[in-house]
Amino acid sequence: MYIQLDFESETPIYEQLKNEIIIGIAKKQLVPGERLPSVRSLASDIGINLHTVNKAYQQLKQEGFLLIHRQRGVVVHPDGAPKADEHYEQKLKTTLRPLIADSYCRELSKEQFRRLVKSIYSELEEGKKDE
Amino acid sequence: MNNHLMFLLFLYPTIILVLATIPYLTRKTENFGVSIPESMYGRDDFKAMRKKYSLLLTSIGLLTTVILFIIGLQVSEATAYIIYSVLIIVFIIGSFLLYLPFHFKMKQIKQAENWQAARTQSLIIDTKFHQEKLTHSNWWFTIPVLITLATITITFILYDVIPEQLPMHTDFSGKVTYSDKSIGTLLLIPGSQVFLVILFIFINVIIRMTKQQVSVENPDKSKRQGIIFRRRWSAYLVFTSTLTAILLLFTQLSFIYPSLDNYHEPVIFTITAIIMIVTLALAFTTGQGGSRVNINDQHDESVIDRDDDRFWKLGQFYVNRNDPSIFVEKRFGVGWTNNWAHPLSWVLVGALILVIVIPILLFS
Repeated sequence: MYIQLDFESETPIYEQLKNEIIIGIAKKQLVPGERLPSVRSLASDIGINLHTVNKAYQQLKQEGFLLIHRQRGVVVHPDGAPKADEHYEQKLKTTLRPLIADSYCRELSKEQFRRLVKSIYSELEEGKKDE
Repeated sequence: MNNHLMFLLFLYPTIILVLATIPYLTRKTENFGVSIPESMYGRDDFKAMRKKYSLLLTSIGLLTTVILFIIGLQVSEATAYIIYSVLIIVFIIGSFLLYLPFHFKMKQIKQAENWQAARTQSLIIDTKFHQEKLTHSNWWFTIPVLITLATITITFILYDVIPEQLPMHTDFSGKVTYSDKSIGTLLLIPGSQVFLVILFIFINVIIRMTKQQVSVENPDKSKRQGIIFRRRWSAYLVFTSTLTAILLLFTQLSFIYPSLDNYHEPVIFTITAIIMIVTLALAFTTGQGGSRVNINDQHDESVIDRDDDRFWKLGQFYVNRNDPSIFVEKRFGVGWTNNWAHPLSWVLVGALILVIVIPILLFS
């Protein structure tokens, strides 16, 4: 899978890296059990500090997307990410609230917002590359 | 014709050819060490710059060769070799000085035209790149290892046949110094064989490990090209290490049978010529990063590679503190160079100097 990063963006690199990997898993471009490059190798390929890659990998591990083995290296979690539960829904709501509030202020209708959500869902289901 | 004049007429044109064609061998996303959008590589003013550089360098080079030829007619062979070797270094530094004004001009053009403004700058990598077959197996180096073992075996079996005095080196006036036969002196050649095999295996590993360079404008194409580039140079390593081991085996044999000495120079010359021709052919057909390998294009004009010019001092020296890479692909040239911000780069350079200097000091 290709990972594309924007160095001028306001989003920090480790976060972009996380997002790209999560999107890759959602689109099945990264399949369960698939090996990812080691921290050193990925940092060298991108030309960034080891800590940046490590931070992204560690957070993805905590969120259940990746497994970090001592021998086998970094792999996409074979069982997939943990299923959404009540706690997750609560967290998602907190994340979405300011985003929706922002859209609301800009008079983006509920219908328009729903359409966006729908298009992103179908894009992920089709597994095709965005942009 | 004298041997050293043959050497001059062979080596110098080759070096001139290599240095003068570099602007044509780089990735198409670079011109004189400055990164450019791939679509601009063919611009008329850039073409004119490349042509001018090549012509200037070729004329200076040929003039130097003619002058050296005239000097070479009048001095001893050993002195001539020294002058040629020193001049090669001067010539390489000279080509760098010639490159500089072109580099600065490119920087100026880039700043004035501000190409990045309209495009999204980004960097792309393939998570599976290093899982591809990037180099040939290190097992291939068993061939030169076997040749080395053969050299050692032959030496010990025929130890009694070897003359008591061995020609070790030729001084400035062309006088040959001899040294007494001993296990130590006879292990000099096998030692060099071992050193070279280790060096080639090391380079093969580096070729596999160095960072990938995929272009956002053309990810699939640049990835394929990068893989072909690495594989070909890896095959080249196996080929060259085998030929060099054979060459050294022959040198050892000419110690054992002094009658072979007459063939020694033609053999050295032939093998060196083969290696140089193969090197040139490979550089021209493949180009830096595989840029000359033809692969279908699917160009994306809306994006451009992240501008990393600030890490490339004078367009040729990579200095990036945050990058854990020790080796990176060269910008202006074919092959790899170091990340000079990485301490290990300096350790390696130091080690290489020691490995070359210590034997010279020990045996002179």
